Amino acid sequence: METDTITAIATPAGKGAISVIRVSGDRAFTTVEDFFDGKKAVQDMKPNSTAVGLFKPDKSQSAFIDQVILTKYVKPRSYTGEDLIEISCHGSVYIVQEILNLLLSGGIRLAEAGEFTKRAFLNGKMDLTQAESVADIINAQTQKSLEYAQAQANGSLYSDLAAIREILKKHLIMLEIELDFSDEDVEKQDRSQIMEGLNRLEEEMNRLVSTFHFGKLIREGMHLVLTGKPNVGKSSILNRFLNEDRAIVSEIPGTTRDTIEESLTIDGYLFKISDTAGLRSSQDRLEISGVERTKKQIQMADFILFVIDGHKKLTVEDYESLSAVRQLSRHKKALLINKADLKSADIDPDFKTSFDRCVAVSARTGMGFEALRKLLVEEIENDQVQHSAVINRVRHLDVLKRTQQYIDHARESLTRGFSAEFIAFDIRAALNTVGELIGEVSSNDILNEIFSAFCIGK
Amino acid sequence: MAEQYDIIVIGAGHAGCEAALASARMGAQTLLITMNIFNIAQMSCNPAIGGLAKGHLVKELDALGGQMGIVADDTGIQFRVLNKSKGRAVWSLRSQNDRIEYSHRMRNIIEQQPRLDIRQHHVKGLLIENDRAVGIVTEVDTQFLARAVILTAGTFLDGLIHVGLVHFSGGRAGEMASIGPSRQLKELGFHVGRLKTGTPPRLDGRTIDFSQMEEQPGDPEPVPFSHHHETCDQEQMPCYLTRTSEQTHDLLRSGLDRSPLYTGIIQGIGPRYCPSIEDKIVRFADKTGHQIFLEPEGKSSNEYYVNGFATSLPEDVQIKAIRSIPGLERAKLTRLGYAIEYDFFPPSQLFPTLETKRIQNLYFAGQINGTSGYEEAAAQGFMAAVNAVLKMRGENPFILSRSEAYIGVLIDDLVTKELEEPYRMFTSRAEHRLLLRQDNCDIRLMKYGRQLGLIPEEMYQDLIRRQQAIAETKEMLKRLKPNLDDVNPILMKIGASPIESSESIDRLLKRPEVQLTDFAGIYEQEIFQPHCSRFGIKVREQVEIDIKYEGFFVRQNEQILKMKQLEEMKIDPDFNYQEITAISTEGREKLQRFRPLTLGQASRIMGVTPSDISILMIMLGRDKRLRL
Repeated sequence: METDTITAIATPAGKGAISVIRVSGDRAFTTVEDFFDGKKAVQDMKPNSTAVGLFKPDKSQSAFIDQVILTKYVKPRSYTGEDLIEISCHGSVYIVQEILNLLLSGGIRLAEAGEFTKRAFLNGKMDLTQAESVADIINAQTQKSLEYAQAQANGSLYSDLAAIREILKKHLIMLEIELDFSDEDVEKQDRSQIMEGLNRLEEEMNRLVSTFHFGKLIREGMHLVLTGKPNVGKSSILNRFLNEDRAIVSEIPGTTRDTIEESLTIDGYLFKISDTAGLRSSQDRLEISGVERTKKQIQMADFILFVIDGHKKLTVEDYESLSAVRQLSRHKKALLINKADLKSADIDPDFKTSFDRCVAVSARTGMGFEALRKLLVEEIENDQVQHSAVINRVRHLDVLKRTQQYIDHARESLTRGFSAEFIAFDIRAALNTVGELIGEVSSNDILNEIFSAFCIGK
Repeated sequence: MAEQYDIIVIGAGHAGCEAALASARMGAQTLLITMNIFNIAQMSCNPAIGGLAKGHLVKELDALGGQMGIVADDTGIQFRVLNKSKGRAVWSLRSQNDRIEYSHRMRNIIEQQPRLDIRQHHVKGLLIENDRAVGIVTEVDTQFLARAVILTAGTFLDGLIHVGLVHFSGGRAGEMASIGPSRQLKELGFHVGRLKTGTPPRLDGRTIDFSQMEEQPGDPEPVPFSHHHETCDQEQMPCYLTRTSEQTHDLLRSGLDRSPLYTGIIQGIGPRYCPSIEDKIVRFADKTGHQIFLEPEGKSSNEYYVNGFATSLPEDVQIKAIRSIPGLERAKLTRLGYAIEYDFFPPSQLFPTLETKRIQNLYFAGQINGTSGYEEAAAQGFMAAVNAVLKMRGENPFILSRSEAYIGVLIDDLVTKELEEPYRMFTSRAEHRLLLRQDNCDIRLMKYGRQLGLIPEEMYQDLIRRQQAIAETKEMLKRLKPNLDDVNPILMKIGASPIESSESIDRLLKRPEVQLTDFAGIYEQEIFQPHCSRFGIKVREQVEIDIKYEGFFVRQNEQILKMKQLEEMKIDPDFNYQEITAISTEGREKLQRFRPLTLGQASRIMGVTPSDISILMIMLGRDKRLRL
């Protein structure tokens, strides 16, 4: 029997030297072939052999994601008993994510919990007595992803999806009334209203996809902002990070009028650091616009590095800057106590408790920077590299994108003036797709809502 | 010596008639038992057949070789295709029928059917041996033996009729209830529930002032239900539309203290899609008027059915409220509206063949399974009989999938879902709605009707020829590429944008505004001509639908394919779910109760999660009962 092709990370994702991505099913070889640029084509590889090559989004282009090693297993002599290929890549979350995304775009799907093992079992690759334990694995993994979903329940994605589901449901209900109860005297919904609703939904989905935290942090890098009152050494810290003189450093307060953004990688993770003009009230028009830009930077930051001069006592300006930052951003903040190579002044403990982390550094000597780098990597990894988290996040994005496709189809049907049942077809599909994450809406649920909200029945 | 039959059908309503006819036509010696031979195939409520989604059921049944569509055509007094402003998938035929004629006609057909006997009896109980149904026993202790028994008792099992605070035993107004079988089935361990339904009063047509109402005529060119009929040319009768007023609502409200519904006397659950008028004014108090349709009961009768006015209020309230409606000021009632409570057996106790899980060779069909509607009943009666005969012959059961018929959706819903109220078919219940159209019932289902021996060979050959023509025409349209000079004037004339490079007719037809007849001037083939044979019109219809909505059908078919794997994996009905502790507690409880026959069915049971299904798959694999 033909089965669909599945993929998943086989190694714990994160900072290992390599990660292994497994692809199993009838289309495993052809799908990987589409992205693999090596000396040997996948189809020419011998069973149980390996091949080195580049993994590319587009084989006609030179751009690649990573150099990978493929290991090919031909059915039935593989772990799952199906055609199976293992992609060994460098152990970066970014790379793993990109490879998985490409494979999914090639039309194969993400494996469910325990699915490789299940296939192995069903294809007679495992001892029959192991059945119970396979079942337990699935049970446990489902439990784990359930916990994850519940953790998400407090998060914004869940409530965003629930809101999307409600809007889809509302439109579907109106369409179904038109179809199933056209002889009742209930008001029909204007098509332009549905279109408007779907357009807004599309915008909302775009926003969700673009701000998708995982994608943003991993793909675009974690956005750091250096802030604090003027002249505490923010630009020097940035320079120390970059080991180059990029920002203009001077003794005159307020020299850095523009924001400067630099990219750097630490342990394979991408960071973007903005140096800011500092948050001081000023009459200087040039400086005022600098302050405005700083505010924007702080609002957009994923993580804030608040710098003080550890050599001097805290001033009113430090307090004012902090309170301004706290108003602008709810993201995590680290206190960088600069000039740690010099004699340090006492710091108000209340001031310190406003921060999630605290590091003493010296931009001049480089002291404390290792600790700072470690801290940043910890932050990006905090909830990113958990195996299940990666899988679930890819799954969420996948759901969002598929939902978007259905909404697009529905909008096209509306534009082309198709009858309600065609529009309903795609809205229902969108609803079912969102339902994969936050619970299905059955046709009975729709009918229930119709009966409770509308006077139906002759 | 007791008389021996192959199949006994208890009850001659819409389910029973289809069951008896299908059984006898498939070669089984059949006995149809009815309490009253004068009331065969009664339309207890609306004098109408079909309607939204129900029209699909009638046409599907007809394509399989059922009777309802033929009789509905023969006795129709008005035909209308509903939803005509929408796409073909939701067009639904509805007919007003002559109630008396319908019953006569069906009785006539049954009386002429070879191998089918009809007997008037009250059934006291079933004969059960070793958990198998082997016959029945009547009120006068006559025994009839059979290899299978189909129970289609409608609302008669322990029926209780309510009018105001008065209630009495009855199966339908003026008819006795059936008491014995329900009690016996309870003793055998069947779960029994209680449902309620209602019907409006009937009026004397001579006392109705139709001039105050809006006339609703039938379609100018009526089309029939049955594939056996090409046209229906009988004279049509109109229906009439009026509305209730605030005064009506006040009068109804004044009687609520004597409403069996609102005083808590009625315990059974009623259908929310078919509420009584008192329910409407209470639940939707802000509505100042409700539509009322006056439907003729037939050409040979004066009676009118007051559609939209089902009620169980006392007689004086019914009369006053009716007379407050424009056009009904002097109306006289011929029959009272009433509510009826009756026993039903939650259909989780049935296999998809409609055979009970508890007692072999016993089948339930129709309203006793918790459905409402003549069409739902008829479809079940037919399917139960077909499966009873097939089982008797030792052949594979006949189960329609959700992707090939509304009948498949109906029965699958019944055996996998918890019933919350009387079940009625809606197009929204069919997830593959775009493919399940009235216009392709024969293409979808007639092959089965033929296999069952219920469709004449000639009719089937006609279908085969048509399918060939459809396929050939589609191929031809891919090859036909008109000259730009020929085609652009046509496109411009119909308000479509002209093309710059040559395109096939197949591609052009995908535009919503383009039709095949638009090209009559360029091509001579019959398919393009506005006036062509009936055969040609049918071919053109399918070709246009197939090409225009191809994208949707492709995606709908992809969805079907995804489910197919699960649908094909069989489960032993005796499989013990309690042992599998990895399955959720709720999942185990539901699986044990519903005992699905395929993983597909299992996956549709509420409370059974996708991971339960994965685990189940593995456990079945362990038992070597299936392999991927």
